[in-house]
Amino acid sequence: MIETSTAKPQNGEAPLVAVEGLTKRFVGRGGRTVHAVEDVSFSIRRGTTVGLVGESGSGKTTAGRAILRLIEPTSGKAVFDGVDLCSLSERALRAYRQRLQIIFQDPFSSLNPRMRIDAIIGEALDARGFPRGVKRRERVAELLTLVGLSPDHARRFPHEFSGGQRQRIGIARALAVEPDFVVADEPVSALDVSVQAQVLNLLNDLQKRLGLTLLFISHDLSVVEYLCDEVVVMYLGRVMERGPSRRVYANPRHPYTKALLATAPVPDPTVERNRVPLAGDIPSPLDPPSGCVFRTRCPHAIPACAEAVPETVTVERDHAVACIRQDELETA
Amino acid sequence: MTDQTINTTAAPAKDRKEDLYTATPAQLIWRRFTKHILAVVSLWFLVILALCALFADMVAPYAPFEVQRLRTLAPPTGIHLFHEGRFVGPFVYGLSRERDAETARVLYETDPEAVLPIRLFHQGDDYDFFGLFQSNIHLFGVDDRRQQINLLGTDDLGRDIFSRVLYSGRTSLTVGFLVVGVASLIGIFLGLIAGFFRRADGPVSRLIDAMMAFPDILLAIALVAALGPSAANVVLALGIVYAPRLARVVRASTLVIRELPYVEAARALAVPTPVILVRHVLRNVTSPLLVQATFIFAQAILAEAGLSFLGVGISPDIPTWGTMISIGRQFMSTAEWIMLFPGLAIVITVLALQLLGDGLRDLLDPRLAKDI
Ligand SMILES: Nc1ncnc2c1ncn2[C@@H]1O[C@H](COP(=O)(O)OP(=O)(O)O)[C@@H](O)[C@H]1O
Ligand code: SF4
Ligand SMILES: [Mg+2]
Repeated sequence: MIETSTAKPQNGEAPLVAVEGLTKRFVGRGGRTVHAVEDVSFSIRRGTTVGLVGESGSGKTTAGRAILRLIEPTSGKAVFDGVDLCSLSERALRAYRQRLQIIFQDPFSSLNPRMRIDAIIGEALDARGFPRGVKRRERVAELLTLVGLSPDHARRFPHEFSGGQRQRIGIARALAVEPDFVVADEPVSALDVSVQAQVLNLLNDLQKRLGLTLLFISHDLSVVEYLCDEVVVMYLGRVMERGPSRRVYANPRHPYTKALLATAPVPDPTVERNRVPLAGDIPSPLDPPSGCVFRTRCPHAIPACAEAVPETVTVERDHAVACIRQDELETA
Repeated sequence: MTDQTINTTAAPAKDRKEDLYTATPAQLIWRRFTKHILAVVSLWFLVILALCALFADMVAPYAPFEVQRLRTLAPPTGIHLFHEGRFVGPFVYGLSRERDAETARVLYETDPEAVLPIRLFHQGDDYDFFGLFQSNIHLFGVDDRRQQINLLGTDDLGRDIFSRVLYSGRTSLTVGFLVVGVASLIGIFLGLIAGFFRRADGPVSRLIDAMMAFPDILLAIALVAALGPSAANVVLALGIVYAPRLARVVRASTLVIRELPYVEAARALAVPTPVILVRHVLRNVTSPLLVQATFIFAQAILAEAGLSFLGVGISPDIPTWGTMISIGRQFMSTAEWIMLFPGLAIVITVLALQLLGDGLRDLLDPRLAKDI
């Protein structure tokens, strides 16, 4: 049952990536189930950037890894260029690997400490069958230059670089295979604030120049606003709200999104946002609340919220919200 | 590099850590210095020992099987520099032989007249160096054909203990080395499999635990008994006995490394799993592996001696430290040197290996290195 993308008509409107009902449950200690990702759906149009936001522990990383099938999803689909990656055999998946890449959060453990930079990038070049020899050295130099490093760095080891530089090397490795789709998992959250902006600008620039399709994972809403065309807000493994960035930021419909935006530092002090503090901690994914998972912290929760998982309803074109009271709250 | 090196010194590290926290800075410096010195000295000792063993044909004055009927059970001789108050350079006194009429035992007296100067690069018996070349040059020797230089004495057949300790060292070190090799092959394989593949972990770990439940020597004897006594089987048996320790070290590190993003990055690049195992996992396990291999080297030398002593080791015809001790046991009360010197050789070599392993562990453990 192997389909190839070329068998399908290329429709400009069809999203490059469509995640449908993606679910990942881990078996935790004592055989208990960790509901890391539950029924997540969204899509990414070719050449655009979608931000995946949520507090730490909300399942963003797990979702990103499951989409690339770096971990086996429990159920659901991750359709890439017309093919459900989750249905592919391990072997069939290999053909897709170089079109899908990931940039990791931790720049220190994402590079093998025993390998020189040219070997690290060379491994990626091997993956797409790039020939060895002079050409390869030129390509490594080119990639290093592309991410703002010097070609002289090729013979060094990772420990000789700063966090920001390592993250650039990680980006170079991901781009070496000329991927179509890249998951960037909090690529700057482990970096010094002073270099965060540089790396973000680099990513943004490369995304535009190379026409990449990007899933940008972050817990920082302001970063997502700056980079992303669309945003998906996750909480405790579920999608709370998703839609075009501008609309979601200007008019958040879900109580969780509102709370996140309220607690986020406002870059422009003249903008007055409703301060609805987010009380308490995120519940354990071992035992998520029934019904709406956000109800234990939601200021608008009513008994009905505990009954059933709220349907995700489209409120405007592409803007969807999973809250049973979003209508009344909007009018209120 | 320091971020990733995995520390696998589980139990002993805890106690040492506590020590480290309660130690004064001066104690810490002293500790580091002595550790360092001991490890360096040990390393040099082992290098020299290995060279002597390798070039035993040259370093030893006599062949290991050279029987001297007229010089059995001769005691060790000291090297002297002054004869009758005059400096004459390094020499040994010759021995005169007498038979005790009552006990029929041969007694040796040093002959104060027989000054035997030690000649360097002395022409002695012919030997064939691993079939590469033939020569009769020995590092040292004495000219007098009727006398001998037996620095560490001779055994019941008049064979030179010093020469035999060197030749035995060649066997013992080779056995140790090969055991480490066999144990590494098996241990790395099992450790990687158990650590990397969740489904294999249960059965492989249980196998490892089961093997470690047996005392080393007992398991080795059982294996040699099953395989049949031969040099190759002793190496194989000891390799199997020590493989679980390496497997544990490798497994523990692999469990950690498997979850690291650089392994995931390799998987995202569709790097074949065997390549990931070697290039990304094994390469980052080398430090704890090296430390453990050093300890196993020491253990293997001890175990081989034990097996030889018990008569289930390498053939008694091949001199090893163990077989030498086994021979010397009968003369323990009359000619203790036969047993003493191979025993010392084992003790010092094992100690040096342990000290080296200890030093390496500190050196290669970034967390401890930072603390000290
Ligand atoms: N391999 C795993 N085994 C068990 N639980 C896991 C595993 N990976 C992640 N989790 C759990 O899944 C939840 C979501 O984690 P993660 O996807 O890392 O969240 P985020 O990236 O949003 O911080 C967390 O509660 C985490 O503990
Ligand atoms: S469904 Fe209820 S608990 Fe959930 S966000 Fe809406 S109002 Fe709050
Ligand atoms: Mg994460």
